[in-house]
Amino acid sequence: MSEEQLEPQETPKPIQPPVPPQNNPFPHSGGFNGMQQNLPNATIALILGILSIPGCCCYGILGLILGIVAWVLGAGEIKKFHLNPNAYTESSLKNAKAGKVCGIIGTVLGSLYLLIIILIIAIYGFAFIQDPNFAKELIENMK
Amino acid sequence: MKQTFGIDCPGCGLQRSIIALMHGDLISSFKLYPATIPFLFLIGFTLVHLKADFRSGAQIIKIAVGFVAIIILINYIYKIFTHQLI
Repeated sequence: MSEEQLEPQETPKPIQPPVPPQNNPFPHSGGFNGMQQNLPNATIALILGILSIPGCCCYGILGLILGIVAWVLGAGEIKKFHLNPNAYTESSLKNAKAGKVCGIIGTVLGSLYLLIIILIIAIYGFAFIQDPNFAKELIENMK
Repeated sequence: MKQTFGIDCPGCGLQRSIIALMHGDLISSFKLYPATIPFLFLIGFTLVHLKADFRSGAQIIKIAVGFVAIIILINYIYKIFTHQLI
């Protein structure tokens, strides 16, 4: 039994076929590979989208602005790519898509926080925001 | 932010956490703001990705951003229920 169990380990691994070179990001574009550019704003969208996540400080407004800008920029770049798919590199399309997703996440985080703030103001009034002692007393009373 | 507005926000603690990290204090950095270390990794990876252009780099960034966002949300909800906000 033990010899049989050992046997498969001794068989040589099947030789993997060589991976074809992947220099051409557009296999369907008929080898058009010369004049491709990066989408101009894809990088900016990606960076803004990532920065929008900790930016949900300041009543969530900063994160909201960064997130929405990244979202709009990313979506615009994706549209631009689909208008003329051969002119731009696929990696920058991926960056634009990632920027859009990050922007959406940042927007959601920022708007959630803004919603919480608005709810608190609506329930307790502005004194809760402006006077930390008032808020502390309120919570002490709740306990 | 906390002193000015009275309410802690989902991004609060990030600066304190980064300062703790600069002093080399990983544990207190994590306690102040658990998402700092993953977030710094994310920024570092993004910069490397923009230079080196990995094949699945954008996909990894998307997943990492979702991960960081979930950490921030959980942390904030935890703070709400433990009355650390004010």
